[in-house]
Amino acid sequence: MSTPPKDEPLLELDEIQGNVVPGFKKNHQHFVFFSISDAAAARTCLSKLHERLSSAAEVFEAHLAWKRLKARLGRDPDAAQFLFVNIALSASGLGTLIGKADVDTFADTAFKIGQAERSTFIGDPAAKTDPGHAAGWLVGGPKHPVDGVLILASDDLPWLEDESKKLETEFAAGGMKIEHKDRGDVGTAPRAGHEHFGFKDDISHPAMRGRWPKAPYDFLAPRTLPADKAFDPLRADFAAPGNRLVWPGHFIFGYGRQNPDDPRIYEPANEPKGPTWARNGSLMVYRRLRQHPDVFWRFVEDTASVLAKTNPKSAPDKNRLAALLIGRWPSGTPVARSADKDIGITGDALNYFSYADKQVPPLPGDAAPQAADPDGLLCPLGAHIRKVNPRDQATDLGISERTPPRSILRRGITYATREGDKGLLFVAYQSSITDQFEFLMRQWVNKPDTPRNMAGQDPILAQGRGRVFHLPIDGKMKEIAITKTFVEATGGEYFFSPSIGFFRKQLARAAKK
Amino acid sequence: MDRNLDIAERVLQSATGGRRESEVSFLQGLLSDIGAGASAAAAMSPARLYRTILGGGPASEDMRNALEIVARPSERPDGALRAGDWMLRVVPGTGDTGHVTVLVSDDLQAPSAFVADGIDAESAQDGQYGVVVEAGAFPHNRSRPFARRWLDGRGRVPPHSLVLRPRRRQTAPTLDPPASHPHTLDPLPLDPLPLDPPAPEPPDADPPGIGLLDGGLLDGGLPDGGLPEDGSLDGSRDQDTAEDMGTFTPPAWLKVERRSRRVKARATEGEAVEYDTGETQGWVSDDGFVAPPWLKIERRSRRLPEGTEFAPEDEAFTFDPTGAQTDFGPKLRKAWHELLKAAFKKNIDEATNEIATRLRISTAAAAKHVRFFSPASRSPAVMLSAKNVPWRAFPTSRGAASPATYKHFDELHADPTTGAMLRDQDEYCEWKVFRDGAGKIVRVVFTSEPPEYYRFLHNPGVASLTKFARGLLVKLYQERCGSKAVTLADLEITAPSGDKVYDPGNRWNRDHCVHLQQPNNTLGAQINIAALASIVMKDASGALITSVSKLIPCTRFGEASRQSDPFIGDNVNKLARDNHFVTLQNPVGLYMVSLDTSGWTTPDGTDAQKFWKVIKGKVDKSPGKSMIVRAEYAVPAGKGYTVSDIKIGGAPIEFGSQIAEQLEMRLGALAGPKDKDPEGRATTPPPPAPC
Repeated sequence: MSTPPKDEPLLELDEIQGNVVPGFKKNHQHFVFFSISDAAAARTCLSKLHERLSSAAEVFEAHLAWKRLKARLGRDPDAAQFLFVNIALSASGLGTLIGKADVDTFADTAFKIGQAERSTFIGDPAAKTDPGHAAGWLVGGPKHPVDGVLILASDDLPWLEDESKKLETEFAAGGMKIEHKDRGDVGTAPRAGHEHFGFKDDISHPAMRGRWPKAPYDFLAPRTLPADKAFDPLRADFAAPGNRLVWPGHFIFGYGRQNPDDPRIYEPANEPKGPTWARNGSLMVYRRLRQHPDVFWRFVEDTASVLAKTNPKSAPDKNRLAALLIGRWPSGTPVARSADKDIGITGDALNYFSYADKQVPPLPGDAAPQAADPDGLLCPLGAHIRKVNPRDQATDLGISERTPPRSILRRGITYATREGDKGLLFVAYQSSITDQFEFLMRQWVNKPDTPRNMAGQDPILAQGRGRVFHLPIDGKMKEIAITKTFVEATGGEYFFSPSIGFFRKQLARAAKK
Repeated sequence: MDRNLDIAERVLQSATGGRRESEVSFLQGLLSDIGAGASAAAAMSPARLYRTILGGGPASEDMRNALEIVARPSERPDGALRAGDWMLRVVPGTGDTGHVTVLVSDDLQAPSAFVADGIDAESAQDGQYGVVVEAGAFPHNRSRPFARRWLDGRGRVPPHSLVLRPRRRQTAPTLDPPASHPHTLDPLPLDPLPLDPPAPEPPDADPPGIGLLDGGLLDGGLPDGGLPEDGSLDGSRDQDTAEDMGTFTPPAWLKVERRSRRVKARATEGEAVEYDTGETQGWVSDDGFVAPPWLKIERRSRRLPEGTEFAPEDEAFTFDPTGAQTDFGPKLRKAWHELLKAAFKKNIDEATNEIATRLRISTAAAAKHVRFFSPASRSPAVMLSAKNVPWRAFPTSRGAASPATYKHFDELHADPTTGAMLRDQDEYCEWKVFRDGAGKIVRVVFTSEPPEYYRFLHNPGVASLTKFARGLLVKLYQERCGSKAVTLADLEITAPSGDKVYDPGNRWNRDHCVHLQQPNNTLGAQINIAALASIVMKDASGALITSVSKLIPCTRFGEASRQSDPFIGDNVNKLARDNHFVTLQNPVGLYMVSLDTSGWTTPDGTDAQKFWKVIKGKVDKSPGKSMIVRAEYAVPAGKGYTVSDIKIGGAPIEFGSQIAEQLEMRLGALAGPKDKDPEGRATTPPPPAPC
């Protein structure tokens, strides 16, 4: 029997900021971007904030408390409210506060250069006049550079706004200027938990390995595979059905990463490289992604009607075509498990599938079909969820064991403004933006022949004309041209989410100097 | 020319009837318009016109007075095709089934260009396509555009096709096709002809316009060899042929023997002939040979389909030089073919022996487990679909990219076995960085040329060619290195036997990156991986092994730490598991495809792609088909800046490795149809071999 490694590292959850892990998961999340005008005052102000920052331990316990209450009440509790606060700093902000020499010791090129300058490298348009170019960004970019971001999250919006005002006032008095605010709200999407195209989001995440010395879990990511022996072969690699275990060093500084060719082998010395104070910190990508649901659905409808003429017997209708582009139906049901209709899979089964081989054994009570789909006849090779997570299939990187290190911890939330601007405030944590978020964008999302040949570009995230999508139809692949952009960036920056100790010690020390 | 096309479209409007009738009616309208003999025109169908023109005789002369032959089947046109040109297609073995189509525009393009414009193309095969006016079950005109393949990837007219040009322009202001084109033809069979699919199909689809594979044309065909032992195609026709033979000059592929009063005709090796039931007389081969009336021709094996590497024009299959290079003359090409042929055989034999030993079975039984084949020994009679395997040139064998790994791969390292200083770049692409006095990069040269190519030139295996080949070897080195100082002695080393042998680690290669030098970067490795990976394996529990990371230690091919080897193995084994036979694209090689310079910035705003120069190999409009074996990235001297002043995603280029990171490589595999062996016979999957 395969067993999970017992030597998973102890995680310092009191030091790690809580949006990194386990994530805030609140209905409202505001991002308040600031610049530093007075470095000395900012050091003093920010260093004093360490006690108000929400640690991973605090957020984790809050989630447990909320779950316990919900279980007892049998419904969402009314009064159990929490407010979480985190801060992340850009390379420029860290340089101002701590010194550029320290920042230069980060190995990650992308973080040090910043998102605006990397923007065309990850597929944003090169022409300044095109929507999505960094020159037109609302936050970040040449017109709106930022040094940091304050993140507040709560289900209680008035409380959140009140706390935000207080902190903004303190920031203003502390040598910082508020540059921009984005307000995430899960209620702005067509349905809670869904994004603006109408699809359930936030389903598949990596499970960070590591132990937590507090009850109730030995492991940070609870191991919830069924006890049946048939699941034993999965235990070394998965925390829950489809929930792949990834070593903490791929997300958090100060911990080891996997052997490049074997995800089960922990290499403690293989830590992400950065300054010593980076321990328990994580690199954060922020992308203000504007979505165009009208353009997306018009494309889907037009294409479906053309297909109805060219392939009258087997053409997908608009809903099925949209699901094939995403890789999931609106309910989150993977098309790999139900290619013809949305059968409303729920729970663990939503993430329990693979591509190279049929996923086995069946989950108790899970009657939805399972089938190997190596050639993308069920879930197209170019479907969004397959482009960014090829699961068990070998890729242009080589063996599939090299895929987990490309994982990211997604913490995004939908937004909509009164002016009709809507989309996703994309947030992702990792220990190397270059090797994780940017790799996914440049190497898999934007290229037509990766991670598998003939995949086409990611139909959702890739931008510009000349994209292709290979639709499985009548047992063959039909090439469909995509000339419209469905998602474009309207802002963004790369940040470092330091440990709480960084504010308490490094920044306080620097403030005294 | 638009006027001519207007007329063609009006003819098309009046072409009525089903698929077949409309084809005939359309052709007759076109013939009438150009003034072709009315009586002859009235009897013409596309297939008959094809045979008439190629067959000679008075009828042919009439037609040739009205129509100029632009290119015969498999011929390259002397000049560009023009709007208004006609193409005739026939389907051998189907009697009178044919098709005529008129070219709308003279700017032929790749199919992808049409698809990008929203115009369906008849296939995605390599070649030059043009929008057409045509009849048939799905008529097309300029308002219903559809692109057909006029020339293949080598600029030749496809087999069974003929391009014609009206000698005088259509000038008739009006036409009345129904009246002037009576349907006086004999009843024609209405076999479905897949000339016109409703939508473009992916490359692995049967190409439309061929339709040779349907209907069991091979049924009753010959066993393995394709021809009977005596090679005869027909030895039974009992007639006196002396007079006929007196004037008959057989084409090169047809051997005619006199045996008593019988004539035997047989194809030369690798050739196959199709018959046309009931129409022996006037049978025309691809190259225009018209069968004389005394010759009965029977098909004994299937003619190869268009679109494979081994299409009819290539039936005498030869392995071409890597990268479709033109360094070799015919003799060296033949010798190279023999080298590759032997390499395929060696690796297939090794894989076979591995299984024979492991399973303790005969080599004949073991051979059934190896789903990799050599097109030189098993001429495929099935459609082969191309499968690209992509990866990046920058190695992953030393972990994630970093300044340290960039530096490592830019530098030479001592080979652990020989101590020789070699490049450690192990993804079948190697590079050399050239810097100026200030340490700035002025040029980075990339190669994916295999060492076998140069070793072959040193010893081509044919004594009479050795001197010439070695001269060519030195010449190529001098060109690559930009120095006349290179001598043969520089490229040789003395073997323990005392013989002078080629030294891939020679200083010129080391300093100028002439060809792949890292010991595992060889064509032999590529063939070996494909051969071994084509064996389906099972683990100790009896479960099929599908994970390539488990397969590599089991079958012992390639390096798991590379990107390329596992991905090649994964793709090949997947095809084998699905019961496909696999081989490698000809010319066999590991190719650079394209350099992704999106997100690069230059000091003066010049497009960074302009500094990427392909030196050797083939560049295709569709990058996935490119076969680049030598290229360099360099800024012209007059620019006033260097490669080091260019930034990738804002980061200055400090190492050649950074460029290699953006360089895509590929291997081209070819897969036969599921459940068929290369000869087209039904085959069942072999039981998985134990690991």
